[in-house]
Amino acid sequence: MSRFRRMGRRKVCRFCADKSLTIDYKDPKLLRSFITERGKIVPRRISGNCARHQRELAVAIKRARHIAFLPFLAVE
Amino acid sequence: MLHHNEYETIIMTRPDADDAEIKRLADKFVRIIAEYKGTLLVQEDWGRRKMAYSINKHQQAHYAYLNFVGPSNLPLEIERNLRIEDNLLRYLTVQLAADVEAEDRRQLAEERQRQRQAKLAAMLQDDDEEGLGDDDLGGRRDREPREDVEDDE
Repeated sequence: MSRFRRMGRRKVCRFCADKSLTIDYKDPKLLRSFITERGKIVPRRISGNCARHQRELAVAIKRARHIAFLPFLAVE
Repeated sequence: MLHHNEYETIIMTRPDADDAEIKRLADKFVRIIAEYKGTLLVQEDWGRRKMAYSINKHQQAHYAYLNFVGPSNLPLEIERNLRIEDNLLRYLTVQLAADVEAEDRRQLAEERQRQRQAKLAAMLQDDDEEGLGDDDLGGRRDREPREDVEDDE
């Protein structure tokens, strides 16, 4: 069973690690590090964010998309 | 008396609107805020920026930003007026804090403004240097975690 479980190095939530880092939908530069090339929101299991911050981040990304700071879909 | 909340509104104007039109819009909303006994904390003009995707065939939009404190019927009135305007592409209003005094929020709003301007200046500089640098960033972040998982297998 343990053969299938990938024991990655535990990632810490960037927003918990750095309290000065605030989630703001007006900051596309920061948000861009949490979306894929295609423009999708990076899941928690990959980004390592905690539930609370991932939730806030998701809302921020959606707002940023609305004001065209981030793409809904990026075509290669 | 209604309690006051803090809001911010971003107004995206068509890129072909001239300065007079942009000024007229900004003045209009500043006036509405005053009419509703609200307090304007910060007003910014973010200028014409390239959008992440085109809206109504436009690649760029002119962004205006308002940060204010007022009763809950104030954003309703502002959005009603925004819907009437023809030269707008889009707008977004967000409530930042509930039941606050305008003067208590002023310092915080000014602090946020300073941080925003610092970030914006840094971003503009990056754009000049790298051109399409943003796409690069997205790609790196995308791959990084996956390598991470396989690392300790």
